[in-house]
Amino acid sequence: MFFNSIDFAVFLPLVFAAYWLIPRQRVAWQNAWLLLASMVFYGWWDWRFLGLILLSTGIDFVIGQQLSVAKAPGKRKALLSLSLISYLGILGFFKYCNFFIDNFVSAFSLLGQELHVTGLAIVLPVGISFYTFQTLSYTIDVYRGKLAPTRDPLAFAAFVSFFPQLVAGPIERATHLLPQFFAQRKFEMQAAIMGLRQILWGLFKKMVIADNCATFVDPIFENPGGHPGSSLAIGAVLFAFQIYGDFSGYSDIAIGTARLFGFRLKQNFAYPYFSRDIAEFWRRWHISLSTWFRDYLYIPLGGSRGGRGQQIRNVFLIFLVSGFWHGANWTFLIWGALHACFFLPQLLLGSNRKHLGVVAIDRCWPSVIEALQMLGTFLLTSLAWIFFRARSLSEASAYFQDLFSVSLFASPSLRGKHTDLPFLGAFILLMLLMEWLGRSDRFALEQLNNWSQPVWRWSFYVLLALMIFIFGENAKQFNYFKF
Amino acid sequence: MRPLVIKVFGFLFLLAVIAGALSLLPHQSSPNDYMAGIVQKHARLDSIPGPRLLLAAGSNMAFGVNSPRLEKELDLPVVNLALHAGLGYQFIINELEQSMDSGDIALLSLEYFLNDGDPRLRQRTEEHFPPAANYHELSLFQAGRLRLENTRTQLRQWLQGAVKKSRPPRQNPIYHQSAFNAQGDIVSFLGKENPTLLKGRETVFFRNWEAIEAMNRLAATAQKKQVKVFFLYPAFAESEYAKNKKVIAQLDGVLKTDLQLEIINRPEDFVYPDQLFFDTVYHLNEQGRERRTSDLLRILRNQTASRKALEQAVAR
Repeated sequence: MFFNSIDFAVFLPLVFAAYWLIPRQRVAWQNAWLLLASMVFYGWWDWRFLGLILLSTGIDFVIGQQLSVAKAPGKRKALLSLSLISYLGILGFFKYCNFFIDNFVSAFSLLGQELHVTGLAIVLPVGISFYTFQTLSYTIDVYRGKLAPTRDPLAFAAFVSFFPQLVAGPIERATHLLPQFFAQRKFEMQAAIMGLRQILWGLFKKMVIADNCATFVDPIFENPGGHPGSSLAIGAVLFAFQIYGDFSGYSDIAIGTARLFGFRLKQNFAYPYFSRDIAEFWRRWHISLSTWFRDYLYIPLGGSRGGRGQQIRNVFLIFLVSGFWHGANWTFLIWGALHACFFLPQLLLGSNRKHLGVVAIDRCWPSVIEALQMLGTFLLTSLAWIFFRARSLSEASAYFQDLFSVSLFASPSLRGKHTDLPFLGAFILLMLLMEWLGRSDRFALEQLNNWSQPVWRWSFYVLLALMIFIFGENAKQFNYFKF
Repeated sequence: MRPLVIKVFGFLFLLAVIAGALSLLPHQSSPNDYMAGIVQKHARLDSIPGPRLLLAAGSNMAFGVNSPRLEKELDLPVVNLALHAGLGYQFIINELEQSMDSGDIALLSLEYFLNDGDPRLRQRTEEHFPPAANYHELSLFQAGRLRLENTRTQLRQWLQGAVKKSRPPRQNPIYHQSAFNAQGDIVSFLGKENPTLLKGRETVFFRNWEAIEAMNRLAATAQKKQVKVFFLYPAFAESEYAKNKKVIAQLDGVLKTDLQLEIINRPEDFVYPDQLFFDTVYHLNEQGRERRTSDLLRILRNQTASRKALEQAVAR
């Protein structure tokens, strides 16, 4: 079920109303209801894959229990390995199997041997990369002794399949989210209003920004050769906004929805396009995934400690794995490698933690230097996004060739489906303005609390809702569902 | 929780009132709308007594055939009903079913992606040609949704139009009401250079075509009405065909088993190099149109069933 669909508009109020009708002392009942709702939510796409979620839940629950009684380090390691093998095996089969088959065949054909092996017809289960990482964090944290294993299978199942963040994150840590399933949840008016506000903002970013950008971007990426370099440049910039609107919009809706049910999810995006360098960008983009890799891969590998060689290896490894997490394609690996190249000089020069705070925190506008830094970072990330968006390396290379040609200075020829470019530009500016004004908050519209006159607040809500109604594209799948 | 419910309902009510008020804005139908081409096609259909050669399809047939040449070489009047694949297979099949008369020969050529289509397009067509209401059904839910959709479209055009007021509205040089010749082929693109971008590159997914059931109903009606209906694969760009070959072969297999209409060509018969296409992978350009017309004539004359049907029709 998509967040931006009529189905969800009916589903959410029903689940919400029934949830709060359950007496708050009955936490188990609330968890059972959430579990049922989550199964319906996921099964709406394809009920057959519910078994996979239940299998994942079962494996980790049992392994968690076993870890609580196992004392011998060898046995504990074996249990952790079992969990890792199960999850990475599931993920590997569904997501990477065909990639390896194809590359294996290509490698042989390079050696002059023709292998006639065809890929398997595998459907990628929606959100598999998200929920496997979430459950893995549980086992690893239990193994490390950071978290006591739960004895409540219902709460655990509700945690794994919690519908607001099941299919596209944020990837929650068990240490943060699981305890919330044991606590009594009290309906709080202010939290619910914040939740609704965040949902509205997420819908605006998805339906007005991302989906309208897509109508310009898709034809450009379909046929880069048919467009002048100037159009390709605009296409790359619009894709940067598309992917941001799409994914951060999803996160906003997920976090807002969870808040309606009394849960607090972690912030997943902290205004990444206001970053002054790449290191800051990665502290602000898809935070739940970056910190997952940091805590469970980068730091165990030694992080930024050790010699230069080890540092370089770790950085490349983390970015390549992050790229590969997004999809089984060389384009994602190159995207990751590019970011590693952008990041590495900063790490080696020791400037990767230069910008930890919010830009221009005590000022209304950034300085010229800050503006140039933000622009530079944005352009670098936009260039890297070309690999992320292209379907193959040859497509990406064709894009770059045509982008950096004389036609970069030609008049662009762009056409969206329903919305004109100046209108889309105005919407993007509105998004940037609101996010700039709210850059110290957890989401852009949190600042609306400071607007003293309710009439202004309500007018703004109506304006956003009307923009969604008039300019929003019809229910389009979220990009990150594919990952 | 009550205050929240009141606030949410209040907000929704406010939105509904605003949307309702906005939907009362006077409706502007687009000038010289392409979908209005249906009026001229049906006027011709009504003015020619049978037997006729009817072409029913999405736009692949509107672009990809030279009907005056067909008429001349087959000695049979042609009515090209093909307009837009977005009308959906049901609309196209129903239109043909209700338009054909005893003795007619009909060629049905559905695009590979063809599905239910877009109700907005169907409604636009109905606005210009009210009998088109009989070619499709709208549930109450769909009608309500369309009303909302129309309001949305209207507001979008109105707002964007207000900003661009100083500039005269652009008319699409290809897709407009007067784009057709007397037989119903699109001719507005003739003599024009191919646009740089070939659109419509979508992966064809194999699914159980509900269209088969609808086509089989058409076959039954055709038999009753003594009309010969043949199924034709559409024109398709070579690069796209190569990409989707497996799925198309699968579809061909299913059609050969289940379809009760006679299939008179193979998918590859109308596959042409990309440079013979105009703006989409289904729309042939002038040169491609001539090649396809020749190929179509050859197929019609070589296939026993179609040859016989043509001979009978001409004899009448």
